[in-house]
Amino acid sequence: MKWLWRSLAIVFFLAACIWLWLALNPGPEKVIRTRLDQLAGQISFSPPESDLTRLGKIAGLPRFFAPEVEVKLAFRDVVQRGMITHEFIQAAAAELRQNASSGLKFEFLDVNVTLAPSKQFATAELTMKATTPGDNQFDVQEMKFALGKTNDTWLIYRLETVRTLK
Amino acid sequence: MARSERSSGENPHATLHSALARRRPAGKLGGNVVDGTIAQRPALWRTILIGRKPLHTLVRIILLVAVCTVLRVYVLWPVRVHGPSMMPTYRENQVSVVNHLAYHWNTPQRGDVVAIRFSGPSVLLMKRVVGLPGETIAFDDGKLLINGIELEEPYVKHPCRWDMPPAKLDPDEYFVVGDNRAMRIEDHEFGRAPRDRIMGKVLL
Repeated sequence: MKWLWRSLAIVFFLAACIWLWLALNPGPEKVIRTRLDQLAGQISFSPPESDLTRLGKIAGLPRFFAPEVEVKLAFRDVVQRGMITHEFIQAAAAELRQNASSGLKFEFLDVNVTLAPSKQFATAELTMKATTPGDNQFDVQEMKFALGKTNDTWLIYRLETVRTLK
Repeated sequence: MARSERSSGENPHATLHSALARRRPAGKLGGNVVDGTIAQRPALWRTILIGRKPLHTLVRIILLVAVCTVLRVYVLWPVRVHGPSMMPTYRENQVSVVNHLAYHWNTPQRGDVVAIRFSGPSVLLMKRVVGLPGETIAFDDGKLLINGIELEEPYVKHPCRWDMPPAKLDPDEYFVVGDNRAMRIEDHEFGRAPRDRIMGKVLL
């Protein structure tokens, strides 16, 4: 029976090593998913929110985006096309907080990441779900993000809405 | 040697007593003393809960869980309806089931209520197929026209006067729309759905 326990111990040790290696060196796909999850948390808010938290969240938004972001957005009455800057993104986040007084929780679901062969660019197709806390209703919009790697950091340089039904 | 013979052979009463004492814990589970003998019968609650053969019951439970999991993940998806788009056929918070295998061998048919994915199956759109590939669809004063002929739609109540110019569907496209035509056309999400976005047929 000794050999069985030894084999099990070796298998367990190898599995632990692999897990540790993957945890310490995540692939680009996992890094992108994690960043998108962080972005969803950054743009979500629920009152009561202190001024410090609000400012901190808005000030932290630029770290997810390239200095200039191309947008092709068409969502209900909102149509936006062109290039936007960090200042615009921060202003939009502040305005969103004013308009949605009861808060908004964003989730990025079904994220499909496609890496370019160079591994320096990627696209993420996802479903953005926005829920008002305490409300049963939600809004859903399919989106496509284009990301590029700059100084080992994945930044979004294009944002576009996808029409599910054409 | 003598001691051991004596200890095993002497005092039959004591031996019987110790034997009973040894078997009594089993009686806690339902052993009954009948005519001086112990009948090992499991308690009723135990029989009901885990059966006479626990191993068989365990195997049955594992099989049942496996079958349910496979059905839940690959075949029947429970869904909850949100929004007014399919009223009055489907109401808010109504629970339904999507058969994911419905179109594995067949194609969607006119009148089927289908589930359409966004970027994945976490959230699904529920719509009715009204136009099939290659057909020309139009709305004229609230009437749905397929290749210029009006389609009878008993599931539509109080239609508004929707208008949409004729549009021809591609070979892999279906035209889907909700049953609630009492709302403004601008507020209603409808249109062409590629075949690969249709995830299954709504059953209930």
